[in-house]
Amino acid sequence: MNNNPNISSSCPDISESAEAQLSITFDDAAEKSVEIKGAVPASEFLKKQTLQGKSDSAEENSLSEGGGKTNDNAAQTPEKPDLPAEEELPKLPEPPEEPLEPLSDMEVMEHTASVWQYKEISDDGTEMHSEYHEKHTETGFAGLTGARVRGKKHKHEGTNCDDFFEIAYTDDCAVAVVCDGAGSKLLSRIGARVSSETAAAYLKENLAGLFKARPDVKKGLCEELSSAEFMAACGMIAPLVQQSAREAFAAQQKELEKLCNDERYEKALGRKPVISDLYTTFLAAVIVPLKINGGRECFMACVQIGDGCICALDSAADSEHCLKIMGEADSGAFSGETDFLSEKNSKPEAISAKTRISRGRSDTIMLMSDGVADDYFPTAPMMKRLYLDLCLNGILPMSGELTSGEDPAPIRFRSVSLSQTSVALQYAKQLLTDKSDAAINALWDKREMLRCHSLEAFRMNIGDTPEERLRVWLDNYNERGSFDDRTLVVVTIEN
Amino acid sequence: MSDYIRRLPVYLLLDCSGSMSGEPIEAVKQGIKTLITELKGDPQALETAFLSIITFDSSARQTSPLTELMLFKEPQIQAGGATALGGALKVLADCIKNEVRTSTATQKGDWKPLVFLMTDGAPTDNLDDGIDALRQVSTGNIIACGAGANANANTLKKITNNVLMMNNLTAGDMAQFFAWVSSSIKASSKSIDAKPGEAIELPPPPQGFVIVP
Repeated sequence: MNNNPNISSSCPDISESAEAQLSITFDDAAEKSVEIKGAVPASEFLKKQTLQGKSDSAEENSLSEGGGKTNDNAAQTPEKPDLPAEEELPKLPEPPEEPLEPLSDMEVMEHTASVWQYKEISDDGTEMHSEYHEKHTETGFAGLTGARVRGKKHKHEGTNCDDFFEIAYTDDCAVAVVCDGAGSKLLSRIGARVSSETAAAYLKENLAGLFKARPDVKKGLCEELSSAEFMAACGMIAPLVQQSAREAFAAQQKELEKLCNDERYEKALGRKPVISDLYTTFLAAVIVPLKINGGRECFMACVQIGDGCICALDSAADSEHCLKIMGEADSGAFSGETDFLSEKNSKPEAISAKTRISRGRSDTIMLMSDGVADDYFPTAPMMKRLYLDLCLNGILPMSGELTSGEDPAPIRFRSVSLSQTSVALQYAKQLLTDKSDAAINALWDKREMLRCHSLEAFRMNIGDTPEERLRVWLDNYNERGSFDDRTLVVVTIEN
Repeated sequence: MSDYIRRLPVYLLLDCSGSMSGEPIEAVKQGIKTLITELKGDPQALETAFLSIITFDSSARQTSPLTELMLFKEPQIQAGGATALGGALKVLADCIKNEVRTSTATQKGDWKPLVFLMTDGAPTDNLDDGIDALRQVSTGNIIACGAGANANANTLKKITNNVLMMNNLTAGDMAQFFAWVSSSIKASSKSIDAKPGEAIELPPPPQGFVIVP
């Protein structure tokens, strides 16, 4: 932030908008390092597959260079006859043209629910991660709730959860970090753990120090968005969030040294670990609640490297103004390419394009791994549906009159766990008239009237604490084709 | 609300020319049966993979449209006629164009299709026309398998860089091929990072199969 950031605004007139969003960039042209998750060739054949997958052009992928350039004669005259001599057989009757009624996702999931297996994590001597983790903290100005669960794929295969998160706070701000280790890398969960722990600790320590030493910073955050004071305050906080990514990567490197000296890791991998074995995405947010002219506002500085989502919602605003996307999937043009925290993309010139600064009336900030974000695509407007799902399932508070439960009833699926209990959850999408943006917005605008559909209205409860409810919900909501690890951190600002 | 999930479209292009008569075609039928049974036991494949079969002899046709695994019925196939491989590629291009959903700003499209081609002879029609048609669509990964002494690796190389050769057309080899297709689809439908249809990590091909460099 020393070299005069280039500020662009998503709102034409910042002063008229309660929800101004600033994007601070130093150099938009900064080269992106795109890694392909899953590109671990196991043989020459696999190597070829991987290289092809990296190509941007499908044509290049599938057609060799000479393809299509041979002359017609050659193509028409087989180089070798199709032996034995062919005789024309009577044609089979064409299969009957009965268009099959496609199955609904629900029908498919009802079937697969019994096919998913639960396997304990197998111990190969390397670091084990717990099945799930949940955490809740009340700071006096905010509630921080986070949970991560092992995805169905990992449960089915008996492998570790690769996601990790950490939450922290100081007297003045809340900190949340979510990391999703690359699924194809055997040790990425360690990278995710080290990165989130390191970044959260770094931010906690340095922000506490900053707010103590420089009272003008918090004051500056309350100034006009266009003012020099506000910019100066941003210039104190944003670099810390960016630096937290570099600290996280440095911690990965340090961890790698440790792993290299541990023969269990060499044994598990069949070679010495390298830094890419620890690859992880990185999402970090610093949230500073503010009182401006008696009203509540919230300042945020976020960095996102890789996929997942960071968003902020104003629970009091209407559907048009309630949602801000603070960080989005930073993946390449093709799915399968995603960014990871690395030395290259945490350098100042690269990370500035991944930094978002915002001040507005948001009171609910969510950070999530792609295991959740992909189920709510596109993020705008689907993050509103996520918020409503959290309300309906008792994770976020819900206003409106509490009556007895009204249809549609919550949906029950057998959990992929040792106990195989069946867990009933409510889905906001059950309440939508169609899948249009307008339907989601309409649902948001009548959210006061939805409490009759909540688990509470059906006298159901999925946990005794907010963090337990969040974890149980993450572990049990069902979406077809969704079986990744899921992590969600929700920060709610007290009024 | 009907959800559009991201499907992994899988196309099998199967040679049903006269030279496949007898044991080979029976092995193909058995292979398809085994493939379906295998995939139906895999929840990740069940939730994401959709299967279509295109057969070719003197002409080419889509024998089974792109179908949910749970609803997939084995097609009736029999061997006879020539080897319209070019035609089969054209049919494939049309099917991909019509059946595979592409991404828009508001909708995640399907994963890029995974195509397995199995042939035992040289094409008897215009292959280049088929290749040209295929170039017009986004195909993802194509794996061509030449079976038996009369399959020509160089011809298949014009279609894709991924060419496998299996030495003979025995039921055992054919079964191995289909088992490998099954594990490739499973690997592809579950690779969450290497998104299905993209930089996939296919299992190593079965023993006795030669990878053509």
